[in-house]
Amino acid sequence: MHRLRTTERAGTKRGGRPSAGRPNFVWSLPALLFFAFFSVVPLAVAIYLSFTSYQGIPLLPPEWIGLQNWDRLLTDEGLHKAIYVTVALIVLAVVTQVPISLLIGVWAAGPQRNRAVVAALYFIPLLMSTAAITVLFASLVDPNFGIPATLREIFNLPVDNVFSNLLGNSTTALGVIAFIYLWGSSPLHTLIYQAGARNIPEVLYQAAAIDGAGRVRQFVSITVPMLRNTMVTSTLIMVVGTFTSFDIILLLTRGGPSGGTSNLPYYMYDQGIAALDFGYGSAVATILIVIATATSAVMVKATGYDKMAGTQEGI
Amino acid sequence: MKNTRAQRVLTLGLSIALAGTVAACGSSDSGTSDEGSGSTASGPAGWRPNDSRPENEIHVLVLGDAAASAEKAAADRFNKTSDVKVVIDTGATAGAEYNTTVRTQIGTPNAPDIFMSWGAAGIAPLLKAKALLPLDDFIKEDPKLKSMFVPSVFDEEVVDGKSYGIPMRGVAPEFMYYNKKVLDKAGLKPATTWDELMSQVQTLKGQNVIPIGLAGADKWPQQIWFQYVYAREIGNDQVAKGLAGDASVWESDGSKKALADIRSLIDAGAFGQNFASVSYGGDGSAALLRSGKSAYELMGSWHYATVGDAKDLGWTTFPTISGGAGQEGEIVGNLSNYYNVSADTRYPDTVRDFLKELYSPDFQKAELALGNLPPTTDAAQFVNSSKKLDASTKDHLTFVSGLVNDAPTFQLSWDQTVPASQQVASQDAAADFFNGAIDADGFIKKMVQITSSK
Repeated sequence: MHRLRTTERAGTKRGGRPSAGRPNFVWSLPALLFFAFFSVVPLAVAIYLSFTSYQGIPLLPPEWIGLQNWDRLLTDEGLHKAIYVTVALIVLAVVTQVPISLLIGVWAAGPQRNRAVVAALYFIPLLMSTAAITVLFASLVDPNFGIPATLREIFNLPVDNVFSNLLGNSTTALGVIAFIYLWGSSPLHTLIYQAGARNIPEVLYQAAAIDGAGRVRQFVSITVPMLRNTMVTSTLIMVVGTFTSFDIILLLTRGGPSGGTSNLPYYMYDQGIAALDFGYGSAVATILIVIATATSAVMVKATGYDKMAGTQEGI
Repeated sequence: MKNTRAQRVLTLGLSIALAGTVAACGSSDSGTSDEGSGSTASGPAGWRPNDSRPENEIHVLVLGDAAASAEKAAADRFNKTSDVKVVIDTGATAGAEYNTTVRTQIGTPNAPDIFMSWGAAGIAPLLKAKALLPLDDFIKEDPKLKSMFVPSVFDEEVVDGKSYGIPMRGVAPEFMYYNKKVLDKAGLKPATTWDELMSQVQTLKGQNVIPIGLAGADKWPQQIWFQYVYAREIGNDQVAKGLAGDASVWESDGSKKALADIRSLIDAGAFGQNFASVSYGGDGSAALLRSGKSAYELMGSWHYATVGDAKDLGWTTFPTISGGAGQEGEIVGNLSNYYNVSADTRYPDTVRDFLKELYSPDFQKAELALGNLPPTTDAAQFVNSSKKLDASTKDHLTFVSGLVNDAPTFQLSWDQTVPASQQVASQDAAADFFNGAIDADGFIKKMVQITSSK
């Protein structure tokens, strides 16, 4: 590598272009190789498999069946439901996590010591394994031994109440899943907002205070606009992360009741791995990749994330 | 110039590496599917020895759970007198992962000589790949390899008249468990008929207990109800035809009657209102029964260990249904695991001799000590003579053994019988019927669809 660099510098005899001394193609090789082996190749294999029938036995190689898997996708109610569930979970995640992370993040950005202590406690879920959290929540929502049973005793509720069958109804089951995600991942986004809020120059608030702006006015007119880029970044992470959420669903509801919580990644697992139909599972995976890529591309374009400018210019 | 050359060399390297991966993917697909050196005159039918397998050892891949200790002990006993050694490899603990390992390895020199399966549906793709050795020649040389096992269990892996699996590990039929205290308090005796069960549901509801516990979040517990009510209404032989793809079975009047029975039980509130939120794995339904919050539960014989505290636990056969076409004593559940043999094993004689270990007294005692009832005809005698088991466990195992030995038919769980690709769909159909997402016609339509797929 050292020799390569000196030869590059020697390139000046060809006129000393401005690019001299900057990393060339070779420097990106490790990253490229890594990307090729762990992303491009598997992706290509998945797309190939989606045109085949394959049960995971090398002795029976994938059999080319053309568009059969793709035809099946068009009329597969389970898939359509999975797309709906995926979107519903993303909407629930954004609607609950953005406001809560924003408010707590901005609050935690203050210099007071008690806030630092509370914030540190609030970040604990970040350190815990999702699987462990899910098992814990599963026993909490158990209708006979968990919180619903206790609530029934305390408030003398009828046996059949809104909490008594949380996982047996697709609306409440989705709500429980969204709540676990909120509990587990809002600390991360709070951390991002806290950092963003600490970067807002104090002078802006001082000037606003002189002009007579109250706390709410300062929050709406200074904090939120100044956090625009933070919000875009955090929401992108949230959306892309929720697209691939799988662990909680597998451990808590197994996609039930009647597919009511089976999102695209779970449906892919259900059809591909559990049912050992790698061809169809790959077709579902390809759909997931296309939808997720399109969504993040649209978000990046629409929010101007790709040419994001600093928010502090002119200060 | 040096710079560009280095660049070219590296680019070339990159493309070779990539091409290599793609080629590797391709070649592993078409690899060793063809016959090896052809069968020798001395070997069993269907044998294609693979000489690149390890010399002087055979490999047995077992499920990596606690029960693997019995197989390890069997190998140790066997190796004392054998020149070709048996090596026990412990695989994944979960069945799905274990199956994936077998599927990817089979046909390669690293594949196990002996491995486990769960029934005919699971080995169907391996048979299609001609990867399994028919064991009929072994049985001819040593008839006990077949005669020592309960016939209804052994016959599961007889496909087109050829035997492919030797039963091993525990047999796990399903039946009714109940809480003695709860039934006593309500002044009831365990229900022996369906009508009795229906009337007990009302009594038990009046006592503020869930008449029948059900771990509905896991889906497969609902399926047991279909298995039994269908066995009573139309008989297991008809069920087997239906599962093999005969649509007329599902559309028959008996099938509709069975669904109406189940529907009336659900509508009577027998399972409570929130069974869909109760899980089996998280000690949901077992805790209900143990603590007396439910009276009955229909579950497999493993439930004895799951409930843990046997003080108030009782067990009995599934109620009879008057007017049903099923024979008396027909049962359902998980038959057993089976040992299968790779068609390209290098030492078939060693494999045959090791399989004999599976019905030896030592192996059966080791299985019993683990709580597994071996699927052999003489298991009951080992239960009685065992010093390691307490009285309640002996009662339970004796009941299970009698149930299996007296059963005219033993239908393997539906989700294990349908093609592996339809396993999840069959559980979903049962769960959807229970929570009302589909009605009887919807269930019949789904079962026809599931059983007619290849």
